[in-house]
Amino acid sequence: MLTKEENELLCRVGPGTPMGEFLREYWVPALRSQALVADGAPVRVRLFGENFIAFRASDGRVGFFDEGCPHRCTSLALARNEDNALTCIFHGWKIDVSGKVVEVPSEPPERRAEFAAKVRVRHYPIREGGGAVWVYLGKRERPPKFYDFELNILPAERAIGHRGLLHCNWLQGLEAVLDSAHVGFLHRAWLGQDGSLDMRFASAAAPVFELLTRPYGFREGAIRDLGDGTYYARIREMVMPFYSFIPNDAPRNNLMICAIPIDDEWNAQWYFWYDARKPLAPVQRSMQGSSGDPDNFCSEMGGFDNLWHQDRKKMREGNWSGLRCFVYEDFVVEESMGPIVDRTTEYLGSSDTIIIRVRRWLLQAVREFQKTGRLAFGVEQDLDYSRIRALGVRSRNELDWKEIDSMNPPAPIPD
Amino acid sequence: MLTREENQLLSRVGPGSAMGDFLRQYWMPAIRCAALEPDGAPVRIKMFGESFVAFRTGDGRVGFFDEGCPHRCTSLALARNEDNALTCIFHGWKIDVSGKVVEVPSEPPERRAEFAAKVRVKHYPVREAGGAVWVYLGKRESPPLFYNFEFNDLPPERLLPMRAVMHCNWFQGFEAVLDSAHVGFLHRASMTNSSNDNRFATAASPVFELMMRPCGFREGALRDLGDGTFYARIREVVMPMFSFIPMVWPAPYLMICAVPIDDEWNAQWYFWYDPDKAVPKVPFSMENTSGDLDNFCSDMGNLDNLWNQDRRKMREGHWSGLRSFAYEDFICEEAMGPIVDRSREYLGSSDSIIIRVRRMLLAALAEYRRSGKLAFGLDDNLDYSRIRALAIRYRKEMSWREIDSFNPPPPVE
Repeated sequence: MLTKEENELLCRVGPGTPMGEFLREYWVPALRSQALVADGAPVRVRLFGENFIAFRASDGRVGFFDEGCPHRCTSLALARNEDNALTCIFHGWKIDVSGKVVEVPSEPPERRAEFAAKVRVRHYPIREGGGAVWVYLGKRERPPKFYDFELNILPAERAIGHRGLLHCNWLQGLEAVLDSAHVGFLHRAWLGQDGSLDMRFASAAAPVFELLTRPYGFREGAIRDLGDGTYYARIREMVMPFYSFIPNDAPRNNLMICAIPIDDEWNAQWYFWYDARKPLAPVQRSMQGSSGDPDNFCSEMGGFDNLWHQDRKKMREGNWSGLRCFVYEDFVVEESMGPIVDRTTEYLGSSDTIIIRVRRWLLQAVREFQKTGRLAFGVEQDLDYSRIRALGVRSRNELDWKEIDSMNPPAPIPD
Repeated sequence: MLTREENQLLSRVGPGSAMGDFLRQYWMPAIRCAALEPDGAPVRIKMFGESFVAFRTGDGRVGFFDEGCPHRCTSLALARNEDNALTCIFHGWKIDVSGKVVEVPSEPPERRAEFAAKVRVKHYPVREAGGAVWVYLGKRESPPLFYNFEFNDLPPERLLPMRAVMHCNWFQGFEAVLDSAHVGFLHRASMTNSSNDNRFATAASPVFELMMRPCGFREGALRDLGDGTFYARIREVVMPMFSFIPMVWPAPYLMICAVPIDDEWNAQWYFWYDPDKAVPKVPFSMENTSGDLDNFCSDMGNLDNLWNQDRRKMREGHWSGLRSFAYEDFICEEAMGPIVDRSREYLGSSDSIIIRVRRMLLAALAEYRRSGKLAFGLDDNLDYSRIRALAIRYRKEMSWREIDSFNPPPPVE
């Protein structure tokens, strides 16, 4: 439970807000690399309540600008993309991929060079990784080090990123991902279906949570005692403020999820799958039934008007949620809280410990940033992110989950 | 004409608003009984700017809760409805129909009972009457006496409750119903060629007289027919929102009310009823409405398409160019904008009822804020069962005030 002021502080992310300014200092994924074609249409991207365009130049580089032409704010999504530059269709102003204005043909010829040199285009550093274009929207002259996540350094065919657009605040997205306790309830219909995410969740639905804090965030174990001298651990890695590495049982792909603010009432939820050792498995089970549009894989999920197509007949026949796909179950409960949930009326229990802690960390971090300008979560410490990986594993009681190395997990225990 | 402040005071009904707090003390209809199936989908209901869910249990009872699960605010409209309880799909919390949390399986087993006992679910008393579920959203420990309206317990075929969801403030809805003077104008197309009669049109400016009642007032809209008789439309208004509208026999009786959804929307309820026989499927004035009993103006249109007004029909003689009697009312209300600016009106003598009702409401509100006392006899155990509207032609010698709506004088030939 939060005060109204705390809730506002966490949720408001538009220009000039403390949380918006703070979160903009971290690299975030903006759109899929494949959505940008060399010399193709620029793509509008909305983040933190502002509008941008991204485009791929003739030589393959990516430009990332404010949406409006610096001249009179015509959308550069309409611009011509050629010659490693955007040319605004309104008056022919031309901006090269580095953000430099190179032609202002609407000015008298003798003034053009001088005039163009004075015009500033707000443009932003980008990196490509995990099949996405990442952007730094912060204010620093030099952005923090780009995350060398495993998924960002793998060859292209070993990692993909898909995005869902959700009508709710970014923190609802993050909290749903953090909340390990819901799996045995909300996703009950899917448990045991392929023998990997098995019925152990359902039989011991209330896990014990333990936390190891890390310079970048924390490592969390959701431990379920299986009562036979073994336990089942879901070990998550959390790179604050956005990036959750979600445990999947082998042999499925590794997964990283994040909820990136679009504006106060919308967020982009990214699912990155990757596998360091072998080609990616085909369609993820959790994605079956989703819309298939990689730029918005929940495009036909529904909304309040149709209650997200919940099927009461299926529910009577035994299906738990009546929702049509695993990942929609998460999204639907998040959206159903309303665009910005009122956290002053909650009853949090022990299964919500992580959520409570993360809220505190975020509040602390944003207040520290307001006071001193310092960035929390090790973003200034040149951390190595390449050995961060989540794990779902069954282990003998003798082995403490905290000692399990996710890159070299213990051998499976036969049933 | 009102000041800006008075207008805000009457119109704003969200949480914490003076008018919202006041109106919540009165029972009001929330949803049709038939819209809730035993063990079926819970239904979202928005009232007074807040969201609720209503559901019917396997044993037929109705539960009415705040929409958000008490845990983390997931909508309970998605919840499983079984075993006389709602179970949230997110973490399996289970809340029985009385509003008690009975299971919190996401907590460790040893803590569950103690934890569950501490969680409070905001739930509200309901009654089923007239084919609708009525709810009390006020703050009192025990709600006021439920209205014993004449239609409450009629068998289903003698009742036809229906609701229209309108994009304007509740008070615009109420004022349109109060306004007897518009009938001869706005509804002119229906007056000349229907089962209703054209006496409205021949004397468009009626004289209004009022009899105060403990629960509100009885109003006579009197039209001198010039032949030694009067035509009276006798309305009963149970404040703060229930209007019993006179219909010309043999139409069924009608009660209308405009219930606030939020500041900019209201639910207009039409309760058609007949104490003696079945109500027709499409009563007078309901022709060409959408037929959806939970929103019978769903296809009415809006400002974007000017409510599909037909200018060709107007040139050919149709007064409003609008396609249904009921829509004519609704459209005039919506056309004023979501919250009409009442500081810009010119009110005439035909608006006297509207002026009085505004005053009554503002006075009631002021009294409630001062003393907590609720106006309109709410705490006086009134008998509402002998309230009925009437449209009647009678001889001049008689006074409309003496006419008993339950035993009207014989028709004048």
